[in-house]
Amino acid sequence: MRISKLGPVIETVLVVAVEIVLYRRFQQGDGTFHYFTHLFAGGSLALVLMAVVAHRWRRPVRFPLLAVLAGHLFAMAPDILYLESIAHTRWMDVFVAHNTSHFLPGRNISWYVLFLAAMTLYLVTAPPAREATGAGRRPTGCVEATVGAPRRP
Amino acid sequence: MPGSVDTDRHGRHRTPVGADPSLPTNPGAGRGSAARSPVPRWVLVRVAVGAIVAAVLGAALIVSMSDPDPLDDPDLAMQRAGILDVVGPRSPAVALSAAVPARGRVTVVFFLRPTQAGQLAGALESPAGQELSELVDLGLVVSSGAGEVTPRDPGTTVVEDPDGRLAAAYRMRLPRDGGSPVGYAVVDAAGTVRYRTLDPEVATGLDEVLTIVDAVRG
Repeated sequence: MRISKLGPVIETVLVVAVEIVLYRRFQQGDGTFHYFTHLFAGGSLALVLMAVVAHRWRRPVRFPLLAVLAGHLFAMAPDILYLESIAHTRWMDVFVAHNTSHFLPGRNISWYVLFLAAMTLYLVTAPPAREATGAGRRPTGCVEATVGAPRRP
Repeated sequence: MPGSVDTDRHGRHRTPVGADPSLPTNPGAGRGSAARSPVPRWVLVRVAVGAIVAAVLGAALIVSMSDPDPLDDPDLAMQRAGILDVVGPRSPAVALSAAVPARGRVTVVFFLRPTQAGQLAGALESPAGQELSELVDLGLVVSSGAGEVTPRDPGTTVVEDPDGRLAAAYRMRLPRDGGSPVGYAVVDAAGTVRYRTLDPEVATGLDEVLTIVDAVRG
């Protein structure tokens, strides 16, 4: 199997493994509510930015799962400081509204819906990889001409 | 190809048996275009990926919410927020005794049920508990059985709050089971409640209490 084919597999395994570790860490601290808030908030921000980038450059983001993981880590950064005995302060809302994101009406259900909306936006916006690179394209008119040509008697 | 366009014995074209002569013949139709899905493969892949992600995350979210602790806050956003002055308004602290809370000293007031009170009394003897005892004044508000709670530090004030008046005066939130709260409030040196939260695992989480105390001490 080529490296280019293995890339998405490695990316998926890596991101899922990191997310499981993060979830377990939050679970031990009785903080799964916070885990999901920051996953959905940070992931939504990443997906919206990915949609903008994909629309601008006419190709999908190369490592989308890593981008979502980066958004999650950015959103939960104050929790890492919290483990180092630094309490949250209001300026930490620069991390994807780290404090106020918890108080969104509907709480994590609303964040889940927003995350799905952001994911849909990206999946709709990003052009397919083949179309973006031009590889493997062929003029559709040729196909139609061949199929529709009258058979020689 | 047999069956598509045929000729009679004079070489003239004739329509195959059973075919509608009004329709144009198209030998390619029904082979290439009909076998190929009208929806591009990449669209199907994206729909599948989106559905899988939605299902996995939705299931994980539901599972995480399916077994709540009866001592948890019904609104988990209000529990262990980790930031001062967010949950409930600033309010003057009610006296537990003549000396607690004292002006000029930060005070931590624990609200406990008998089970958690015993655990906390033990936890206050740990390094984190001893550090806490040195930094702040401590008050233990127990819903019942206060006489059985004997912290090692004689400076720790223990009071009983059977009707929940003290908890209400500190504006502690009620847990999911509607009983007495288990958690703590932190009072600053000016006698104002700056932080309040339910925390069923407070006896094993004194490091977090120290973090909040550090924030209140500035």
